[in-house]
Amino acid sequence: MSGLAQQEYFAGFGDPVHEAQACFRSLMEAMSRPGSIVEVDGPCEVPAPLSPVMASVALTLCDYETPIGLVGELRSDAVAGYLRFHTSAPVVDDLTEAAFVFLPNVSALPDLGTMRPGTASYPDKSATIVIDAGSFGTGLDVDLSGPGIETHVCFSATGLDAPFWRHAQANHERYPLGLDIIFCGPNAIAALPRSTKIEA
Amino acid sequence: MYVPVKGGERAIENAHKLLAEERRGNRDTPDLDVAQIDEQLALAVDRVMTEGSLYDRELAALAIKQARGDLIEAAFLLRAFRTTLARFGYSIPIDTGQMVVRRRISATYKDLPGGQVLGPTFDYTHRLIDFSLLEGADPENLEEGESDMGVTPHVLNILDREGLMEPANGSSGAQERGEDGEVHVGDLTREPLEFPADRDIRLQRLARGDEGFLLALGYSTQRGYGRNHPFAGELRLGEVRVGFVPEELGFEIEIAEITVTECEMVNQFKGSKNVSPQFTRGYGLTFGHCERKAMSMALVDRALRAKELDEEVEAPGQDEEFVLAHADNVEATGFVEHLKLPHYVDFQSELELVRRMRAEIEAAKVRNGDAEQIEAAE
Amino acid sequence: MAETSGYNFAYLDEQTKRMIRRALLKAIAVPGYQVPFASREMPMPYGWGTGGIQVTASIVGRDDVLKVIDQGADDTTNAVSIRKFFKRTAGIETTTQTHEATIIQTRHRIPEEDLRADQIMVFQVPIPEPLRFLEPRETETRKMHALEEYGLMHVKLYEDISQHGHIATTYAYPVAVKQRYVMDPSPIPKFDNPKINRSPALMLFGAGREKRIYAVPPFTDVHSLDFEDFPFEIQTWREACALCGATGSFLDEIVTDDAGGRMFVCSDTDFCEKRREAGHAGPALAAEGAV
Repeated sequence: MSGLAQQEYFAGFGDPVHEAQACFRSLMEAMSRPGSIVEVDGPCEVPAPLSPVMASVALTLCDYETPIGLVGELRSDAVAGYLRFHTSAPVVDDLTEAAFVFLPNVSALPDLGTMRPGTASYPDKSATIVIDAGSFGTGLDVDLSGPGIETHVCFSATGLDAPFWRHAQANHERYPLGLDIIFCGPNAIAALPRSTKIEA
Repeated sequence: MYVPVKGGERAIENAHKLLAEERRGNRDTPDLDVAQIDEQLALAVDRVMTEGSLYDRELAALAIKQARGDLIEAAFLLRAFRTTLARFGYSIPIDTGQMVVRRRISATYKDLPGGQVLGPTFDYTHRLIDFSLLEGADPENLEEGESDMGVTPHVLNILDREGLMEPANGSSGAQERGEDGEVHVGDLTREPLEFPADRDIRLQRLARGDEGFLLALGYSTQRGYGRNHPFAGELRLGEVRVGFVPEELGFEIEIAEITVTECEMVNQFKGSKNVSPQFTRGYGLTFGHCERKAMSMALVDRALRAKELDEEVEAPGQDEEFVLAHADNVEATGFVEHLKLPHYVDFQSELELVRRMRAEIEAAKVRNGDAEQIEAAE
Repeated sequence: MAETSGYNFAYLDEQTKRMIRRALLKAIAVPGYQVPFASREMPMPYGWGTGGIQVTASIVGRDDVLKVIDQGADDTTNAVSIRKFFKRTAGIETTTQTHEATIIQTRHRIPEEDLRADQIMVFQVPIPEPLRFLEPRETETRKMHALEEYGLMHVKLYEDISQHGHIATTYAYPVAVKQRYVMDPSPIPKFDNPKINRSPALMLFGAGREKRIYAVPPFTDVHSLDFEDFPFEIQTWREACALCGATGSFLDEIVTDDAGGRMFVCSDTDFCEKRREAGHAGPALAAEGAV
């Protein structure tokens, strides 16, 4: 909205040390047990369309060493300003430079080739995608298996469609290269490391 | 009857108390004054600041006192303290060309602008123990002489102006220039060391590296292990100002004046009958007055530039991974000394295998009919 | 940052924790692969567990319960020292009991008791690179992992068998993770290797001096390298634990006199104590008539 005389101030974590630690434990739980839904809190008010859960992930993981990319409606001055202020992360236009890429929904997913998949010697130097995925437990079901999953787990989110899962399986096939994905729900997260096998 | 030994916590507490007691020593002897260490064991303080990677004379002197004179232990104390300090940013690079020089020599020219100034040096002393120091006699008062050294240009500029010296930066193998035209310098304390390492990271690693290790490697290059024909182009000691641009101000302020020792070696020329030859450089820099370290660092710096200067890597001093992986004495002493920690579980695994193999050999002997001979021997 | 008045929670500053947390997430996404990280100088020397300490410091929270063991025992001097460090800098509850712990930091052993999904193991690692003693150069070993070229390791194991009749590696025994990366499980005895395979717990590995972090997520295939005709075997003892009578745990050898007298006692002190509390007695205890 143009014409606003002043920026609204949105707070970050109330208790940065312990909230970041709690969010990180949820992220680590989600990444090490793909398909699990793990609760995450977030700061009460954040600039739309950034969600509190997504903000929490950014505040926990991003800082001056991690260039971030914002895609779709997240590419706003308000969101960029909020993230720059609270994390000091540089916001970049060129997604190949981004360590974290934030997406408001799955349709905004850029061509996977435009983001860093890591290199054969350093597969860790790859981007992490953070997507607003809608609610967990409803939507197109997929079957996940691999590290972190005892046998198989059934997973779905309202925002994740068949084309997305095709991209995700193609990403898995590049293992050990590839992107790692964090899904944000209304008050929880789930994660999909590149090591997870996906079957429709 | 065996009871598992408990009381590890009490053992540690007692060890610490005993250590404090030994550190203090005989209570009839006056307690060491940190200022005395700073002033009168200044070269120890300089070494600790250099290897501890932290410029703070009082802290280094205190660390030496706490470490009972063990300089690597003192450097470790400084490093651990350094980790806890808040970072504000990076200073402007110091300009050693603007140094207020107290000592400055060059082996490549008999005389030169600015002159040769011996300064405070052991170089021409006769190594005869001075027993008068036992009585603590003060030296004669010095006469104040003429003191304008003025700003003293670098010796290597003389060669540079004639085109005889490779350029100081932007030489082959140097870092790429970023979009802003600036050369971006890495930070060894924020990124893990990776190979191959660029010169900026190599120099950082050498600057905080162990003096003894670099001395031996530098020496080895002089004896033919990767010889690079060094001449001491310049060695200078003095004070430089440190500038910093705080974001809130947007202009430079002076935040400190520090003492540094800088050594520039002039090394083997690169070129041929078709390519105009130029001399090459080796560079060393330390906090405080550490000539041996600055010179050794320059020799090793040049040796590690072998690949970038199209030289064969044949000697340990030229082996980047070998030199850089083992240069840090805090890392080295940690791993060497960690052998004192209990390893009895792993040793037990080895014992089990060795016993088993020995038993199998004995069993094989028996099967081969050596049994009779063994019985006869009994 | 540490001020004179106190430390940041768990000593490390928040930026360092973030850097390590990012490395941990990538390590979990690529099981067994060594992620380089900018290890900080800690108040303990390199070699004393600074990698494990940095990992624990980056994950620990107010409600965690921490157990620290070295050689399987809670009371070895360095385990005591590290436990004290976290009590002082994080104020968290600590324990010697495996079942009470949410985070278990360890040097050279995995507890005998089965781990649970809500527990995290943090291993202290001296040399993270399983190929290091076959190839000293990091530039070369990194390529080998990239190209999945582990011939050097297989040849070494094969040559051991030719020369010794056995694979001569008894601890830090290399494993293949998710059929992709060969990993060093840290200097645990090979006896403990099976515990890493498909464990319900998350396993994190920190090497401070070498500046590497790696991870094995729960339920991940971890296979100790071997050959079809020379399958992997764990160590066994003829003796039982002299104190609790256990026959399936890793035993320490205690020399009792100069004449070669020796007894064997569980390395895992908590496991042994629990068994004794439950009424089990080994030959030494039974002989004394004590319970």
